[in-house]
Amino acid sequence: MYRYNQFDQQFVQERVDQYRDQTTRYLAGEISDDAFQQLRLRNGLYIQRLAPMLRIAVPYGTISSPQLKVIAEISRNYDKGYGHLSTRQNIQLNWPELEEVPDILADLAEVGMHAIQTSGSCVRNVTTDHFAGVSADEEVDARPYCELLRQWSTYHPEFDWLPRKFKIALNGSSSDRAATAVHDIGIEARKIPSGDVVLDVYVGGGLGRTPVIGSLIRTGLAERDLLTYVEAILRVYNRYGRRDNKYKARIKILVRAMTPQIFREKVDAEWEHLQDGPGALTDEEILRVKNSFVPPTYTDLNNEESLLGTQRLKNRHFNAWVENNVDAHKQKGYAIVTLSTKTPGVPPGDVTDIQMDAVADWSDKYGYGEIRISHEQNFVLPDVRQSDLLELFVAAEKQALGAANVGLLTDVVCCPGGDYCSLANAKSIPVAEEIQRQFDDYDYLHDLGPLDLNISGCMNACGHHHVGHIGILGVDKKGAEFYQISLGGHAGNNASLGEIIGPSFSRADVTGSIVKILDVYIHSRVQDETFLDCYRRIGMQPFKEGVYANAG
Amino acid sequence: MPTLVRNGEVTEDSWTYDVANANTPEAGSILNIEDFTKHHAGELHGVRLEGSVEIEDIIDQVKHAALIAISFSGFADGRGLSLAVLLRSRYDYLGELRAVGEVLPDWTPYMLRSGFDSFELPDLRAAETAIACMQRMTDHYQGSVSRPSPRFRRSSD
Repeated sequence: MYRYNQFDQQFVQERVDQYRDQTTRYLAGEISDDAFQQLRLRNGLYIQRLAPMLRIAVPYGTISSPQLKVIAEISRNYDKGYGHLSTRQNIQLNWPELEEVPDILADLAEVGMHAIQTSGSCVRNVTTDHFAGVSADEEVDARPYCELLRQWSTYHPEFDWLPRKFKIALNGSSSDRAATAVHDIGIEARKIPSGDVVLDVYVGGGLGRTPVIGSLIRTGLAERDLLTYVEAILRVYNRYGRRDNKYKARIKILVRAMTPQIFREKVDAEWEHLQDGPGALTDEEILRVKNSFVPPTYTDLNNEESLLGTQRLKNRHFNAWVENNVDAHKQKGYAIVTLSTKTPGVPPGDVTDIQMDAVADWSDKYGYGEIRISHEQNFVLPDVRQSDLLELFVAAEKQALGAANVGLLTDVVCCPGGDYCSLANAKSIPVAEEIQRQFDDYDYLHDLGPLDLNISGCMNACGHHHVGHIGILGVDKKGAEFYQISLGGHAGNNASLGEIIGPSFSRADVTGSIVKILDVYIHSRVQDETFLDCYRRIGMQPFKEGVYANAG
Repeated sequence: MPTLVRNGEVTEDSWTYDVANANTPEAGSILNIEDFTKHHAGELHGVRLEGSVEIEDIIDQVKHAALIAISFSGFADGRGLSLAVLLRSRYDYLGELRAVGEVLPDWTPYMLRSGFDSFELPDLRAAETAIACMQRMTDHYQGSVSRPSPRFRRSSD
């Protein structure tokens, strides 16, 4: 993974000193609440319903074992001994004291971490495939482009006061695991026959109140043009994005108002001035950053089909875990392991300090000290020897990180919801928990197959409900918590937005409605058809009838 | 009375805002764009622009102004930053570029790097804080108006 050089380290340190000074002046009454809000947000600090929330940046979801151990330590020292893996691959602390945040940031800086631009109207943490660099289906490792964008966007003089937050995601694999279609900018990296990498740029995708699939505005962009082209997009957005209504301020609204065609022309006109300027990347810089993502020195191993076969026959839980949580590695004899945080009774994405320490230890013991965080709010160990899988599984089960449900219904993506967040209309975590308890039978879950269930507590859509195969949205109905269910969303290749099935449900009726929806699927599917494929074939009507038939 | 910071120091302000709407605006006064255009004002005058202005349409009128003041309305509105960048890097504007309106000390480092060289702060205390803020960060990753080369084009550490 990328290692900080002296400048990266100095920069983060100076940013801590700067924030400490800002906090001191705020507490002395020299900065107004409104002005300080903008300053603290740019260092990841929200003031929430119960306490402040600090969002720590995990650039493109990659973190080292010493870094994760420091976060575990911080959660013990300044918090309640747990953290939360967010849908933007970051780690959040729910209970820090405002006065102590500068000290937390100082501790983070010691290991090259920070909370820079994890909130506020600026370019946020750039995200990518959590299997980048290791997955068997990868064409291009997107991490170097993420790192180039991270450096370029950090404390950008012109683009730190945008109309609204700005999210960029990159993908370089044949399966899009980065949800690029629903980002302000989504970039697909691919190889052309010459062996060079080119970039296809999508703009104006997003979730929130107005979900939109991004529009392709540039194909075949050269690597050297990455930063200048993004600069051109940001300048057009900064100048023309709406600032009168925060619900209409995201770039998707601008792109739609202008039309993607006109927006593209504006960007191209701007880019003409920038393309050959000093912002164009040099071959040396591209190489320097790529070289910081060279693979570890793998041992020459063989695949362990027969060993794993024997182990899987003997242990059906292990068998299920390998089936769902283990993915193909590009290196023979290795595997990618996803450690699920989705256990009933635990809010999705919540991890204790002990679990964080354990994951860090496993990454040292069974890998090269690197951990990923997926936008589905799970941990990923990218380089596990196939012969170590069983041992790791047994250890993970003991730490409640061994659930064999990755990609299944109970691998719920969920925002913190009304239990923590002051924006939420309704609670989301208890809804997730009830569904997880209802569907605790592995054979049934496995039979249902791949199923993304995403839950948001309000229309800001932090739980990405629009792109869940089944999406649940908390709404407020005359002061009571109600839930709208949508079907057919999808975040990967051929992305789509879910459609609302009909009138919303009371909390007591949500799980029952999900049961009915799944009954319709089971009775309608043809052979191995997935839920999503089935929905796309038969449409909404049968589901609607199944859910509302006896509702009166 | 606002306090002016120019080139990193608290400075006496020699400019005045022309509010009298005089037929012949005095030298050293800052006019709004309508008056500036009407009087064919130029090297002896300043002009005040909003961040939202379509600079492409008025650049020929304002490029000879001795001073361009860009007004920040609402402290989270970054349009004035893009406007400053365009004036400096696209239209090679060399006169004084002044940040006015809601200018808070912690915002001035962004403004400085986007091409502003003077700042109207609410009072002396704010002006001194702004000077300290502008000196805090040693260097940055990306290029800017004040230092066009990004770090990767300069000698490495």
